[in-house]
Amino acid sequence: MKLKIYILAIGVVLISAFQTSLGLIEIPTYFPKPVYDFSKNPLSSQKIQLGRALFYDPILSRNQTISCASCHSQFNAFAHSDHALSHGIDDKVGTRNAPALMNLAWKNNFMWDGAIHHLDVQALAPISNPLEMDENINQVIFKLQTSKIYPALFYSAFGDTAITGERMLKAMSQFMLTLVSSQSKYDSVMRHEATFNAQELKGYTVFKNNCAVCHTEPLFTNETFKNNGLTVDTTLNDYGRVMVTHNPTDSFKFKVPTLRNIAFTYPYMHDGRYQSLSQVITHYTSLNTTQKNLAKELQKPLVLTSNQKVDLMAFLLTLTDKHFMFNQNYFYPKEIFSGTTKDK
Amino acid sequence: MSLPIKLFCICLLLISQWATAQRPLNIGLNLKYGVHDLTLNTPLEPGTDSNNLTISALKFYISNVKLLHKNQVVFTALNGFFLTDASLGNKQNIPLSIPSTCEFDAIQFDLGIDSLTNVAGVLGGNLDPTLGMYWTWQSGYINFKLEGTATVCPTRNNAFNFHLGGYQTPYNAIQTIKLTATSSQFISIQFDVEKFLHQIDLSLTNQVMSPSLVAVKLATMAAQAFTSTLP
Repeated sequence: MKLKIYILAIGVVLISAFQTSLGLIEIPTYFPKPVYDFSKNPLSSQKIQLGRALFYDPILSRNQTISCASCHSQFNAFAHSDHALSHGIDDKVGTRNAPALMNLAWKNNFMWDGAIHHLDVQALAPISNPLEMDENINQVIFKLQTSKIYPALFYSAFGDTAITGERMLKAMSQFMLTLVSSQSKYDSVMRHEATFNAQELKGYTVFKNNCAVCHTEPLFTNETFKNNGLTVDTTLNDYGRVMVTHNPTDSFKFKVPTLRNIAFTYPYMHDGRYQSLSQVITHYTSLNTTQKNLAKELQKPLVLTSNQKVDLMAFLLTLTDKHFMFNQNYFYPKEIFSGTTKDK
Repeated sequence: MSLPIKLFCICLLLISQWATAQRPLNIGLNLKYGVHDLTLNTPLEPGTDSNNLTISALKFYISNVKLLHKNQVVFTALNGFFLTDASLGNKQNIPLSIPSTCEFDAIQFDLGIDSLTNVAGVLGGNLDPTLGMYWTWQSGYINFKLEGTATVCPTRNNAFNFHLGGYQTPYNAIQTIKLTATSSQFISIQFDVEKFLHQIDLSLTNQVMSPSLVAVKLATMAAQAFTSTLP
């Protein structure tokens, strides 16, 4: 009996030592401090539920067919798998691959070129993009105001039924902020609750020696823009960050994406040109390291034996977080939408 | 009421008056085209202008309003982001409440939104991004928007669109404007669209819709089209 209490006490201490909570999202203590200013948009469960409804609702699009979830599906860690370039309304093909959504509170800017500088205004971009949702934000507000369910949801979240762009966007941010991935095998190892097997451990060493300089733990990105040596696709002519800053040194620089859940967010790179992780690793081991403007971190040729490549992939698989991908709190909220769709 | 309470109330009244004595000051914005009031969607120089110039939209932000006396700031308007929209009329007002004792000889304001507010996330009221003054594809406010048509524009429907914005160096388009103003109950400010447009060759410059050096140059020209008239 005494032993059980002792173990329970240690368990409680361990859990509280390794998790701090903003009440509604769990943040591991080994994560850096979030950069999102929660004081301007304090989390509440009603606002999160409203944001969740909006995330899954195709009302945001011109013809009510495309929602955020159309390109950001939970079982792909909120990325868009199987498509090199994501497609939107009327099957129009876009210009880039939709990135995975997780750990957004730690990001200073969004999109592959960082064009969006605050999570609260990100949704405006896909809503107004003619290839994605092709809608006007004012029209969205009008549709929400005249819908059967949203006045009540806004009332529950904000205390009155006023539906404004600001409220809608802040509620969506709140749901997106809850998408925290921190329970992969890697995280269990960091919390001393599990250990890597021999192969994963070797892969972790390869990773730390060659990849971590940009894909920095524990977020697996250092949130910078890098030219990683991709040759330009002349059918797209996407120059990346330079299109936002107009600074020539930013030519062909794209955001370093997170590697968390990487096994589920294929295809890879801003234009989805690589279908498999093995192709990505081969890209890095066969780089022309003398090419112009290549990130300095990649200028030393990378040599890996085939065993090391396999070990590295084994490590990358430890970044898969099934808790994240099957978290019921992120599911399509059928309890909110039931009765409003044609299905029962 | 007993005497002590009456005296107490009188004291309170006097103190409150002394502490917060205010007077109203109205800033009247007059949107003009040359000597005429600006009217939207009508030819602006009928008879004389073969360019068939019309304006379909004029919107701009005024912020950071201050009153100066001998170049010192004597009053700053708090929470002041004002959106002027010509579709609501060519005479608009910014009502302020200033200390009764305030004396000023100039008014200063920014044409646009400062960089800190630009990165503060989504805001409400006049700064709501659904008011058509926010870029969706690259976060940031549009400081000044002028749209219209002119036969000389080689564009679809002869349209010109000037959406001037940008808050990051070197494309920081915000402009600070200082105009003479005398101490009284109202300040009368003009924005003259003709003064702005006549410096532009619309056959060459007709679509400016992202942060750039051209946008900054045009913003400087827009700032110069503001004048104050003394009563």
